[in-house]
Amino acid sequence: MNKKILVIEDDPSTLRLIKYTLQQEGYEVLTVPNGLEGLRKARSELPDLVILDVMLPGIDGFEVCHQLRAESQTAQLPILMISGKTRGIDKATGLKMGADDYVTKPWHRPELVAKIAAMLDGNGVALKANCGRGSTGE
Amino acid sequence: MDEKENILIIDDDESTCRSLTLIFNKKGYEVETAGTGRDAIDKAQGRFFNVALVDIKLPDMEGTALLPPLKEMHPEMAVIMITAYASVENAVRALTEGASAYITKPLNIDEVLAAVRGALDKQRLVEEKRRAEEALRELDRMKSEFVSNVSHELRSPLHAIRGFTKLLLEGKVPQPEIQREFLSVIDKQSQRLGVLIDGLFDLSRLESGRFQIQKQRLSIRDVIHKAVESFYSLASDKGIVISEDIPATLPEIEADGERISQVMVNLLSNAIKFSNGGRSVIVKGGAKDGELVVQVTDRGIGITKEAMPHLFERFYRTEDSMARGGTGLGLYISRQIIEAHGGRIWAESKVGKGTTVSFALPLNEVGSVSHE
Repeated sequence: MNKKILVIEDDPSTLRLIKYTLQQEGYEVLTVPNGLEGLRKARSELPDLVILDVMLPGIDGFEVCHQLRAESQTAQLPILMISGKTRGIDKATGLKMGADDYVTKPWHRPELVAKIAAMLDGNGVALKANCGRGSTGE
Repeated sequence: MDEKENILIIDDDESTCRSLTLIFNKKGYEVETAGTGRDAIDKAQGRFFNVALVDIKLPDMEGTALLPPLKEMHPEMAVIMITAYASVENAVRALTEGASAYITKPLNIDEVLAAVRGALDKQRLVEEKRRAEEALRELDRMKSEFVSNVSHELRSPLHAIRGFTKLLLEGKVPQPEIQREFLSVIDKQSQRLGVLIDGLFDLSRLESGRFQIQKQRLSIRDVIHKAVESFYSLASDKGIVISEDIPATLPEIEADGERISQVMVNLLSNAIKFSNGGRSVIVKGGAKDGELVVQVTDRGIGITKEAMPHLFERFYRTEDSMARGGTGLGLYISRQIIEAHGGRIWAESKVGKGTTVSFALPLNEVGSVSHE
């Protein structure tokens, strides 16, 4: 089965760009335009990976990340944060909130694709303490 | 100054205290007295005094010993030493330790008043300078935040343009209908960049006083309709319906069509940005009391009371607009445009219910002869 990726991003054109790129790579892509719907979708769909924008209306990406980590169902979910905020402090905040990786806009497409593939393989997740290789189903 | 200025007299000689109090009260100052250094410190702990008059010889300590504790409690307080001729040397030394001035006993009233006035004047200047510096710092902070916002706002559309262009150039989009879709995204995002850059030019014209409007007779209904039309696709993407309620009977006005259209674009773009899906944006127009009034109402997230007074200030952005994007220029430029027409612009809002931004332009109806 195709891996399922949830994209939480409020800018429609960025969302479309990510969706198309990921679909080209053969992923199943779900999209939502804000944090609240993102949390709901993450719980109900349990995707294999979440791509999360930082600047979201209402609850922002940091908060979404924090909440996903706080709930047992989604605590181990690989999260890739994307943001136009390029300052080191923002990246640090993202990682502190529990994101597995942080990519700034504009990203280099092959790099983004490679990162996602690595995270889905468990390479990204393996870096985290006490987690190890989570995927046993293959 | 708004409040009465306070003077603390620290002297163990009661008759000096009494007569100074009388004189100062007459001049409109508020006075408190202290007979000892300890007493003075207690009194200054509780409240601020603009000026302290300190006798250099106090029963429990040297008057100069009061300087450090008083200055520590109130760095802005002016301390004037009262000294006998014999201890002028001490008083002069006090000047190097932070006293503002000294006066000698026997006291000459004019000299006392002049010293106090001088101290107060200096205090006022220092305060004014502090405020001006604070305002500058705030403006500086807003400007650098603005630059960072603008960079972000420029980067987002540019990022989309580059991303889609690359996909197309690299042949990753074989289907013609998707090619077309992506080209139209690129087109829209370039327009967004254009609007942003126009806004920056407007700002620079406004700042340098070169902002001008060119009036001509026009139908406001057409201007509004065209602006609304340009938002149809954005609105429908977000599931928002824009309804127009503008009577065909509305008289023509003298206005700069392009500028008024720019205001409409700003108001509509805000209304859509801050609306959530499936809601409506209503554009209303009408003539009333010699004015043409246009209103743009959304059922969006609303604006907090704290934010309301700042809406039309340049660079100002509400908490929510930080997440939703924006430069803090739209409403500022809109206000400048409307005011350049002799009109006014205002907003009403309720958090969670929505916002109405209205503007009124003077109607110079037929009868007022056009000057040619």
